[in-house]
Amino acid sequence: MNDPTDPVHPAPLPAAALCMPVSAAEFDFATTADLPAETGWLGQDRAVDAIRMAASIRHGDFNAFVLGMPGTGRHRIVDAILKEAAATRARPNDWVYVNNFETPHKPTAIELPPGIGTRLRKAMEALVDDLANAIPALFESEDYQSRRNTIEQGFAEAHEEAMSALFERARARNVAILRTPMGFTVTGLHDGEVLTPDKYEALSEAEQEKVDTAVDEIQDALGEILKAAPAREKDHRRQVEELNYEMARAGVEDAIADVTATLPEIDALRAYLETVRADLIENAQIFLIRDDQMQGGPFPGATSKHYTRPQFQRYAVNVIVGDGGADEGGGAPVIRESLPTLGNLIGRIEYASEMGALVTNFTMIRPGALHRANGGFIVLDALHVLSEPFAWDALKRCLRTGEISIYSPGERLSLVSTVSLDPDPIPLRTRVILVGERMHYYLLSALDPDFAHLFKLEADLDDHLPDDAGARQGFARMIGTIARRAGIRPLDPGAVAAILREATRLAGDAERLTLNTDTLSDILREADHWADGNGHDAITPCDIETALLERERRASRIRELSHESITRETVLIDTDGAAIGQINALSVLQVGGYAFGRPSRLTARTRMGGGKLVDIERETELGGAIHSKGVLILQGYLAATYATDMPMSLWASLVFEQSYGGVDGDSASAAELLALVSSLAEAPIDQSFAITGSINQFGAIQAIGGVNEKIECFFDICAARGLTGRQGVLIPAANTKHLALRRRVIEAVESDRFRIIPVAHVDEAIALLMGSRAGARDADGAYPDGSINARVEARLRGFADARRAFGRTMNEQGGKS
Amino acid sequence: MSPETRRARVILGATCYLDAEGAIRVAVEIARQIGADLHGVLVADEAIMAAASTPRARCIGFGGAQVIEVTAARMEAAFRADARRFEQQLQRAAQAASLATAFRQMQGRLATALDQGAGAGDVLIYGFSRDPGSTDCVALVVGAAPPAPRLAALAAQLSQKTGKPLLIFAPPGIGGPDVITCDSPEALLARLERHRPAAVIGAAPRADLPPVARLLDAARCPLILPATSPEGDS
Repeated sequence: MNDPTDPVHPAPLPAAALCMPVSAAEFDFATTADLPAETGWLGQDRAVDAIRMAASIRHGDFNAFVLGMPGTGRHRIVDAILKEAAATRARPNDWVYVNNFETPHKPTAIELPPGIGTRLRKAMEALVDDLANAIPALFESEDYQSRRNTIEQGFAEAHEEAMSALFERARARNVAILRTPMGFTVTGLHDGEVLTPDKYEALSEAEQEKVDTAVDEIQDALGEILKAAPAREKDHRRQVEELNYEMARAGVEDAIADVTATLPEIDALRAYLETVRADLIENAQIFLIRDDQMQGGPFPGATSKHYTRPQFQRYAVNVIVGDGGADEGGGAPVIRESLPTLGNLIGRIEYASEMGALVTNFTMIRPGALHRANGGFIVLDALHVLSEPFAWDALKRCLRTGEISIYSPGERLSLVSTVSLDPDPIPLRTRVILVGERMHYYLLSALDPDFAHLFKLEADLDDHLPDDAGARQGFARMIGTIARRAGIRPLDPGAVAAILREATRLAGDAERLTLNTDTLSDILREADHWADGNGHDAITPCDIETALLERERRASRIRELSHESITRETVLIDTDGAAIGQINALSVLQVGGYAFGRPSRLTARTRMGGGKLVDIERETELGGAIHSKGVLILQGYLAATYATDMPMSLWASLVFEQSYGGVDGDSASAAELLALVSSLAEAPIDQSFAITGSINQFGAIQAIGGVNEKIECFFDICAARGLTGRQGVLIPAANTKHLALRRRVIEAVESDRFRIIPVAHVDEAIALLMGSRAGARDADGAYPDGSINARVEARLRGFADARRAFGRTMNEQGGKS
Repeated sequence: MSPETRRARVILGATCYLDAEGAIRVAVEIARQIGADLHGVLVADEAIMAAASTPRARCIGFGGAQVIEVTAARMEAAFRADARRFEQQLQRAAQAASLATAFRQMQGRLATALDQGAGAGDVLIYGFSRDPGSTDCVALVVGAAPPAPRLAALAAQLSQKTGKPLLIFAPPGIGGPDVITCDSPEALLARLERHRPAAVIGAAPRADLPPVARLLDAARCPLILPATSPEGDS
């Protein structure tokens, strides 16, 4: 049936063309242990340069998004580059929150040189401890007691002297001052006795007047003395306060001077210490509050940690960034936040419950990852950030404003209106690196107008590396490095060659090597396991092959069930003989991370009609959009290739037999066209073949995906039934470079038991499958007699004639009746 | 009950609640020291009632404000009110110190009222309200003879409790580091006024002391005297 000398028939591919031609002889090392370690990242120059730029550029809005396929080493590359860059940078400044004595709900942020934050905290704790001992001693000192007594004496004397003088005057004026329930009563005396009304009336007018005048005088004077008491009391208090202030100031200033001497001259720090000084002097009495528990403990009061007591919390220092001590190694921070919730990112304000109410202060401000990364780098997983409520919004806000403001989700939604803390925002000087998949990047670019402004650098990791000069040697070094890093056996040259072939399989291209280092590492580690069992010192090709087979075996339960349904003839697939309007199409399924092929019987039926091509898959809504597009394209080919001078009078139906799960993609459109042509030309199709390829309106067969899986699935069916030597798969010529077939197929091709035939045009496929040439129009526009195309066109003309005749008959019958 | 078996009493008297309150703590302390009952007497002093009955009677409140309408009736009502408060406070203080207590209101002269019904062994306290911060000492007034040990002990206790030094006001011929010589009752009054005592304990014979009213005027503090007894104090 097939004429191998016919130039229309393309030749089958040799075995050498079915996978990457690589052998162990290309490598001149004993094992990969002899190779130097890979210091860079093979094939990732574009992305690496972008990340390096993000690490070094000084402009704040050049944050980076690292995108690529998972497994290509995005995180590892980012970590290595950032760590290298961070080591060359100076350690960033410390940030602390301290009490704002005037408005306590607006804590003050102070930037300090590295290490000074902790030093300030400890200095303030020591200050409080010192004053807790010094101030009580000051107020118990002889000096203070003496001066206080002087004030008290002076106050008491003033009043008593006035009262004494008054009482003396009263006695001299014959007036008595009596103490009564209603207050002081001033009354006249007569012969040492209080004047009764009778005795008063018995006095002469002059004497009465004298008594009255004396009583009034003494009464007024008494009133004056008593009214002066509050003013005197106020002055007494003022003098006591001034004394206390003076004593406190002496103690505080000495202590503050000690603190100031240990800290650098920074304006903000000096200003803060000045407010501390003023507050300490004003509130010195808090140091006089005795805590009996502290006094009664095993340690004497003088060595107790006074700074932990609640009344001294106002002098604490909350080190937000930098609480690691001056001994920490230099360099900028590289922070990776694995749970980027709103609070973990921008920090949070904590609350404590006291007597049923929630209270907080500046000591309860907790830093977020952005704080810890300030002056350095922060690496975030894009999906995690986008998944956490308000996290993405907060990150953008911080980058836009250049500040880290702390708020809660409740405040963000304006659900909380109670007064909380409003701390000074801390300037953000951090480079943000987002790591994610390409889909995340493209969605953000399309839908978030802020994204492009804030993340100007894209570090797009390549999925694969071209197999050009030097690539294989570089790849071998990379493999050796992976093995070294994983702590496994080195590979011998044959294993390296095997891994290279597998790398092309993973890339889906014989001329490309995958850069999915995670998957390569998994394979190597599994191969190491098999090498261990086999007692090998180095990983051999056999270990690699075993690892690959075992990986496939683990994942192939569904594939085997599909295969079994065919070999048990539940699903009907012919692998020999011929049939009109029936062809073996090939599709690929992805279940989890495993892809496998599956052959399908595609059939076409044709008859006269009104030009309708029924795609049963589309009609039943089992066909996807791309599948439908393929069917429409082949309709275009039909309409433009055959009987173009008359209406298309064809009715045809196409279906994937026994397919109930839906189909998409156009990789079967060539098979559909061939089935139609077969049905129209009534030319049987050789069932020894399967075909895959999409068709355009000019009949050219175009590349498709999953070519390796599709070939292997048909091969496995044929092999299960016994290879006849006739069987094979027609593939698009453009897919030849994507071939990375398994050993079993290559061996069958080598022994001429199976064929892989590349085709570029539907006419080549017609000749191979139907045993006759398709035929080309001659100068008169006619197809050669007996050619498939001539037969198709003749059939279509026949449909058109029959339809015209039918129409005339109907008209005649209609006219007669 | 014979005088020998009757429990001693500390009798606190005052003409107003303020003065009574000013001396309650001293009275409780003394009652506890000598194991006595605590009695209170509010005296509606005749002199005060007479003063309140005069046509132009006026008062100055203890804060300096003038009280316009002062009549005998209002003063009586004020005495009754003060008596209630005095009694309540006395009972509270006695209960806290586990002391037996009694209270009465009477009319008369404060200076002599407390002596009425008092017997041997009783201690009389004439109340007076004074800011302890304005006092400098505790005063023990003695006569030519040594003071009764009980009174001397009392004075020492009060000195310790108040934290004020004990000064002894004695007639000439008695020496010592804390002795202040007073050669006449007037001199005693003048010195008491100058030294601003927190309390005065009168350990000299009553006849050698100035009148109670004068002592109160000069010392302006609680005055503590043994009740007059023909056998003297022991």
